[in-house]
Amino acid sequence: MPSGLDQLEHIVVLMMENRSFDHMLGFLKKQDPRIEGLTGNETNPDTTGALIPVQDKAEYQSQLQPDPGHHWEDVKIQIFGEPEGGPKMQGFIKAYYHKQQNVQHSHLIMQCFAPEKLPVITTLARKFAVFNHWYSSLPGPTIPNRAFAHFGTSFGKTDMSLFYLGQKYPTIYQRMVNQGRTAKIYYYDQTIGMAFILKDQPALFATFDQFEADCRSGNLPDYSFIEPNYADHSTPTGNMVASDQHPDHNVLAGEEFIASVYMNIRNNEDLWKKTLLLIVYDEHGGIYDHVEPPACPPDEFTDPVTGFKFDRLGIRVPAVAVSPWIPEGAVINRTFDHASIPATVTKKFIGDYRARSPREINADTFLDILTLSEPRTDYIGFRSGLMADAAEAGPPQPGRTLVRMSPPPAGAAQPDRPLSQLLFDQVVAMQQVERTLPLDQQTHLDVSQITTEAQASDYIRQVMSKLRPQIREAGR
Amino acid sequence: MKLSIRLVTPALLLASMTPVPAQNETRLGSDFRREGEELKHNCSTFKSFFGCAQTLFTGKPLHIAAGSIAPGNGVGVGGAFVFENNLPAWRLNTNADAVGSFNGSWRAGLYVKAVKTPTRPDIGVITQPPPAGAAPILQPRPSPELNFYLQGISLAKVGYYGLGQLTSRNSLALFSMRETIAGVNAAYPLFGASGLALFGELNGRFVSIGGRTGDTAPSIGRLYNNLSAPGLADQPGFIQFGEGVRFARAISDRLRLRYSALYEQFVAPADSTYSFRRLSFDFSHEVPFYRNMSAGSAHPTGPDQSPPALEQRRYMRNREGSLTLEAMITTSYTGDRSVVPFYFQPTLGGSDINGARGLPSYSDYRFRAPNLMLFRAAVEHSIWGPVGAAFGADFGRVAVTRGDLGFDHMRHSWAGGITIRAGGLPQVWLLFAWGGGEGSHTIAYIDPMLLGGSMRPSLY
Repeated sequence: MPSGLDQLEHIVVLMMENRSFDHMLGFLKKQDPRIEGLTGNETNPDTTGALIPVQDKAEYQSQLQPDPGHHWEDVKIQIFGEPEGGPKMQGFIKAYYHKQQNVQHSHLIMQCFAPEKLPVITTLARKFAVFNHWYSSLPGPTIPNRAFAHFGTSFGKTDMSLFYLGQKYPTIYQRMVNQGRTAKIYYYDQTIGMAFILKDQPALFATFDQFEADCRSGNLPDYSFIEPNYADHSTPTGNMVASDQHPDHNVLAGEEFIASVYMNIRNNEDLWKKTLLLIVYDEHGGIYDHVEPPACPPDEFTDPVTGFKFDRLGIRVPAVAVSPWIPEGAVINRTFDHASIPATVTKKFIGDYRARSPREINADTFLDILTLSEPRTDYIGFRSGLMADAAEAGPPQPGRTLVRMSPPPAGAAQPDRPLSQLLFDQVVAMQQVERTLPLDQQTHLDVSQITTEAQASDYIRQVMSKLRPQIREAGR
Repeated sequence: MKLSIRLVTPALLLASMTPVPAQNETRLGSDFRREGEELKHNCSTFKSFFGCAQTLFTGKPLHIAAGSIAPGNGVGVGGAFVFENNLPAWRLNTNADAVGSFNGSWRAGLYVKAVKTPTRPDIGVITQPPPAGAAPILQPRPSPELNFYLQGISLAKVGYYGLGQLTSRNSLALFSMRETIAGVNAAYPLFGASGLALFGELNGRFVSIGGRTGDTAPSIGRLYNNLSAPGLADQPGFIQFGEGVRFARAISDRLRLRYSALYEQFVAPADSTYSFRRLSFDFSHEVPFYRNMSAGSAHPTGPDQSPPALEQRRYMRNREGSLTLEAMITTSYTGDRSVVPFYFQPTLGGSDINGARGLPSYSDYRFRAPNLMLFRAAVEHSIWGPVGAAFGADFGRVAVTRGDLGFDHMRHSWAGGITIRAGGLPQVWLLFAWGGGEGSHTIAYIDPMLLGGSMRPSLY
């Protein structure tokens, strides 16, 4: 048994909403070809028959309205096409056209994020473990997919109905409580989890600020499930923009929320060494992904409306595991779905447990990704105020290596030396800063082509030369 | 107004089913088409009753709207139009609704909410741990919000008992009121997640007061005049400015604060007799109750028998309830010959014209004056599963002059009952209010977070 697993005391799952793997992480393939993302040549036909390629021009909001279809009928078109029978995963544009009958608009379903636009999830994916084959549990919407994360099954439901009380199998939380273990759903201010649980409310629910406090004090339960803010809403001090990343919610707000969850764990060194964080999305939200979902052993339930036996997984979603016991750049190729969550938590904290659905019993578990014999000692963190940093002209400060580079010692420069991961990260960060410049002042360089220290140095020098006038201006 | 609601809603629904040219459908056109398809699909058979009800009451862009208009004026039913159209840097929500109640009251409004969002990541990677005690603060933070609105409201029946704390229940008279408000407000958060924000508003307010006949209580004009009900004789138009500071955040997980200070200027250009200023403070404190639970000592049974590490004891904090302590003070300022119109004065008793509760055992609008102070303590605790218990006490008074504000002649009201909890927090309150010697009230209300809805401007 790996040492990391011996040390593991807490599993934390953060489940976001409605984004596909390719949409969020697909273009990471350019940085690491082991990541099963996009080459840029993937296409889908539109309703006129034109082939529309994927692009890395996704915006944080405003493109995916109306909400792309992600219910049973929509996903069927996305996977099998319309009409059925052609190549798989070619129906995304056609399905989106059903939402708004506008050919140009339907192409937006192919837009994916350039990695530098998502500094948090892409950094965690590269620095820890990314799952190439984590699928939503069924080709359908939020509620039944989240039910798989809580129960290991949706009891034959593929729709958004909320009748989950008194079911055959208990939630993972009730299993944990019955076993003398601890578990909580931490939510921002509204919880979907309340659809699944009425009993044990004070024990099983808490708000996000308690998560922050519990991380500080090291009193996280054995298992924590975190729900983001699902809706924009007015508060006395401004608007709390939804952070769940459900289209058309703001993706940057979700990035900040992911960073917040991670940093709350990371900031407690003792907790950090005992915790595995999984960041995963409930379903693909109708957005393009190029990997056909595989078949799986059926559940014992059948949806009476569609006849679906739950013998096929839903479309692929982003999933990233974070722990100091995971080697940098791990890429996991085995197949998982949300039933893997209760299966893994049960395996770790309960052991043999019979009253589970066939889908959960057959689901793979992911504890074995903690392969290191010693915890990593490197530090990866996030902080806000990047733009403010770029405008500051003060001396370098410890802990802020992103946009400031100390000069190397004399004689230490080796211009042809391959780019280290750290320097590459700095180049990517510099590119983020560069994008704050007017278009005519940007270098428009493809940073993925930078492979040596000399190239990196030249690039950073170019960007800094454009930034200096602004820095001086800001200092006045 | 009722007629227009009856005509407009079906017409819009019919329009939604009108075919639109394919290939270049607009956002709004697609919303209408899909809602029409949903209605046709869900409401054609009785089998999909819940789906039909969901479409009718929550569908977009049109749905049936229902809700309280103002205390004593019934539940309004009508139609609502909702359209969200985000831009890369702004989140935009347009909401229009019109509701009418059986007593002839109505409200119609157009509300546009605009929330500024960043277009570039403001978050960066750091590769060295921060100095001890300087861990990066990365908390969810609010965004600047602007609200534009144009709202008309007509209330058929509002109670008036005279001014001040010492009025009699028998002095009740009734009036009708119409108010049109056009304006904008903004909340601008400061220093990220500090919890501090600036607030500002600019409104045009146009009020019309009328009598109310046909009830057991007399119309206002029969008992009161322009001296005992300032502003009864005529109602000029007002320009109203407001500037405020708000602070809302958890100081620790043992104390959450919600403070606000608002300074308003009501200017009546046509008749300065009615111009006044108002300063309001609201200090709310919430103290959560936690229970420390230890786990790991349970005795597993049957198939749940567990092999690993049960000897380890786990400690967990469960939030079982909370205590809320709140103090509100409002003071008004006028020139030597100016008065505060009675229809812009705050009230205590039941609920005020905005639906805010204060001294709930008393009748709605029971005490009215330019100055007000209210102290509230409320406690809520879980009992079993989704059920909790709640108890609250209000102490308050109004005052015609600022000098009258004080702790003498305070009125009080108690309220107790049960709560329905979801997600470990109370969401629905069912309370019985008594005390104060003027009878009792039953109260039912739902956490506004569950209801959503638009940001409506205050009516006073």
